[in-house]
Amino acid sequence: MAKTELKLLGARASPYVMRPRIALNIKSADYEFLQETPGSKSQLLLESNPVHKKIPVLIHNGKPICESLIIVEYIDEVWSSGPSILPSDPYDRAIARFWGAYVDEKWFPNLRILSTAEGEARDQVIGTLVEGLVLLEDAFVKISKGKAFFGGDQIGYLDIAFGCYLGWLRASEKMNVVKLLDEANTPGLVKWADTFSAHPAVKDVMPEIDKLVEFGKSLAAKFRAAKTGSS
Amino acid sequence: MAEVKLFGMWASPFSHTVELALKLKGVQYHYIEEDLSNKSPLLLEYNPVHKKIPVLVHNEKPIAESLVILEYIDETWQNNPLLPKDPYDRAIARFWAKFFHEQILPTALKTIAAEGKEQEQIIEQVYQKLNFLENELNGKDFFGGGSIGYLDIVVFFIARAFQVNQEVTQVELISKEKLPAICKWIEKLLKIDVVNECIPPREKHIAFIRAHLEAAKSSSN
Repeated sequence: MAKTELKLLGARASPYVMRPRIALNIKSADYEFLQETPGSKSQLLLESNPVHKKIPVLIHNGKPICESLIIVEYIDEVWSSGPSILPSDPYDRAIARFWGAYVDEKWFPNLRILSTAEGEARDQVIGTLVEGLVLLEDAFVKISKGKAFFGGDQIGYLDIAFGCYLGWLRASEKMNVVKLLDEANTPGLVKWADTFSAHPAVKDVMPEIDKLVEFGKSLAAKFRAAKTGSS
Repeated sequence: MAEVKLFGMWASPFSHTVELALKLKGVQYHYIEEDLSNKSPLLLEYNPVHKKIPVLVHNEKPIAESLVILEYIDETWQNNPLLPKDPYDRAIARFWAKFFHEQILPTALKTIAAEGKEQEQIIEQVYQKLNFLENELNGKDFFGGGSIGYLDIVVFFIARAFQVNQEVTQVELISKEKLPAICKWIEKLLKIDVVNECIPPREKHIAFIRAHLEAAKSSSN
């Protein structure tokens, strides 16, 4: 397939953008990566995603697909001859989708606010994050059945859905001097995190932790400045 | 022994959504009504993460989250497909379902506590978001085209709840002038027997909403 028929609008630091990139790597699909400039949105982005104006957007034969996990399912369905991303059994698919929704709706929002939380609130956020990781550890043990990934021997939907947050998770651990994933509470996930990050479909699209730390610090500073500016 | 069980709640649109999907597929199921103020041990066992309805249990295996359940139903019982066949159309249907749940519904809920100018602004926001769906209908009978599909099932019960809410709150979220296609679509669905089977009795529903809103208002004072 010609490269120009498949474009992905995104940015390296975005966990959501990682998702379709990993999916496309798994399918060995060539695509043109159009990097959005931080702080501004391209005309193409605004036209392709008028509803949310957000990345990632996959543009396939001129037609845009938005929302990262929806894009991943689309990729799995279109490149059906490549390795499968979603499990084949409907129940396993439901479990994968359930946890994908969980990390997006319940878990990650706490990671987002960690760097700007203070005192008791900060401790609460950390507690909630760790509780969530313990749930995910339990899910990992049940779903992986002793194999390396949620998807079994191969990376699957839930590896992609949760794994994309590892960059920010590690950056947050550094910025806040706290351990979220650890051997005591989440030994399975600790191992999985390393294996996932080193996977050929993942390692080139995983952002560098130090760059995320820099980015995270500047976001937190902006947030604090905005807070004091409005009080 | 019932292979398929649904833990639901009579006034919950998410519960109705799953019921309609099962009925459209002709799946026999055992319905279990949950008292949300006193959740059953079984529900808590089947959905320990969220402790919410609806939960579908098939051959003793539980599935939670209405959109996840819908996809499971569609994949397990392949007659009367709910999602379109084409991957792009599927992506679009999923996109709007997500948008409806994550954007339209929460914004609509904000109108309850808001008053005056603030409420007016939020109502306008809901309209702007619903307008996307108005355009999506674009002359079709249903979001699914000629017949009811995934997006119809996801949107209908919540849209209907907005209308029933209006009787209590006088907040109009779906006006005939501004959203004529959606209004027509709701009326069309209301004429379908299997859809009607999933809707609670109007007066009971209104009384429930009224009591719910009183409780919400007094707890926020």
